[in-house]
Amino acid sequence: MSSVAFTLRDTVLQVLPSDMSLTRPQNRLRNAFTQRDAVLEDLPDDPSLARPQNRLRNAESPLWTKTVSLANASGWLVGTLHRLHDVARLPDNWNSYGAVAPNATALANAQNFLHELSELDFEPSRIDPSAENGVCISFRAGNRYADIECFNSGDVLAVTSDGSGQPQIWEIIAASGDDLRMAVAQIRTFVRS
Amino acid sequence: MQDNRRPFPEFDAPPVVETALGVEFAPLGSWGVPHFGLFWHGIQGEYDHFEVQPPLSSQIEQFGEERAQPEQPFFDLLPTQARCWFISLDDRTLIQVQNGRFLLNWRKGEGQTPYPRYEQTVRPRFVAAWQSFTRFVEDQKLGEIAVAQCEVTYVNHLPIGAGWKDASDISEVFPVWAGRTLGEFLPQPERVHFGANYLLPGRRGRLRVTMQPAFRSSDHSEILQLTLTARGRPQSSSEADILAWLDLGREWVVRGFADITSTKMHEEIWRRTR
Repeated sequence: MSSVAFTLRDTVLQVLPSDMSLTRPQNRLRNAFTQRDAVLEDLPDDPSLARPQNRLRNAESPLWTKTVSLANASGWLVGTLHRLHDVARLPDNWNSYGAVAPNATALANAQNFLHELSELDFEPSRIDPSAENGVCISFRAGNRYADIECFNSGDVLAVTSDGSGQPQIWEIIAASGDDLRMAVAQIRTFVRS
Repeated sequence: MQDNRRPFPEFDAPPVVETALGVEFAPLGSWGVPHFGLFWHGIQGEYDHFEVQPPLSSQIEQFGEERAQPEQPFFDLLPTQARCWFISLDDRTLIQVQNGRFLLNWRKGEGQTPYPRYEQTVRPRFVAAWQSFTRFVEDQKLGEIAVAQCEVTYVNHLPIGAGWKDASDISEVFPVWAGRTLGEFLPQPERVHFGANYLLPGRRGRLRVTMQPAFRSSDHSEILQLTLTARGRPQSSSEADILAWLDLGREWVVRGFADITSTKMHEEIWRRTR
């Protein structure tokens, strides 16, 4: 089942043009298969990953005030969070092409990803505003490139590219819990391979 | 070493940024998704917007031999459950409702809003909200509310630069953390976080204290977050017994806070008056 899912997804990706406009939210529907679906199907022996309750438990808290825990954070996280909030202070039209500044939704999702990256001590190369309205967390190692784009709309896309073939693009359904962890793990494997 | 004869601690500038008073009860058999909206209709004048959140799982404290017993099945997370937030007009007060949980949170938010004090504001707001909820349950004939536990949480933020600069200063803030080693090998810790649990006498509950470094998004500052949560079972499900337990829990939280933090912080940063 998992191999079927990957095959179909790859087929869908192969009919897409190879330019980076694929990161636009309006193109995301072309990708009929999400990373979560594919990875969950690839891990049938770990039923806990497939239980919705377990995913929800990750986010539960009776508290209203949200902070990012630094208890087990990597040394680079604080500087990166400051960079994220510098990006957040940009005005609309920061690129003079009409881009909207990152909003609270994009920031919160980006912050969740940075926290997960920190837990793995996987430092991103850059944090930038996205011309598509949001925040882009990118990674580069040699000719390997990956990014996570957190859009103001709440959509999150991940991209991996080795500079030769078609970039792999997928939507991350939830910027928390297992979806987030699996996306980060997949990107780390790609960048470090 | 309880000493309840000491005056109740008071501070001019306490570091509390959020409080939560709550009740956990046996899920009501007739509760359904439409009841969230029906309940909101009755409080919408004060709580004008809502959010849907993942449900909270049961957090019933157990003691002694109780720990060996399996969790009571009626507190298990139901797949159809949801938790609704109802947020006040001024964005300072939050009512959280799920079938089995009821909480009222106050938060400081951005700006210099002073802590409105337990007796004058937080407790009366909880009472009003709880009475709205129990009246609603009664009017809708949803059954009797069987309270299993009450809880009180205070979240405190200690910003960097106000009494501490790095992990080597933690013992100056929290005497409970001595920060000493034999000095033979380890450098200063990069970061420190700790937790401690304290039993209330007569198994009336437990106080849980956690301290961790954190990043506060609202002003992009590093903080130490000290969270104190007291939970325990009230004598009965009556409002009077619920409030009696919340008063006890709040006393343990506040006295516990004063006991676990240093005199230097009390005097120089939070301006203790009593």
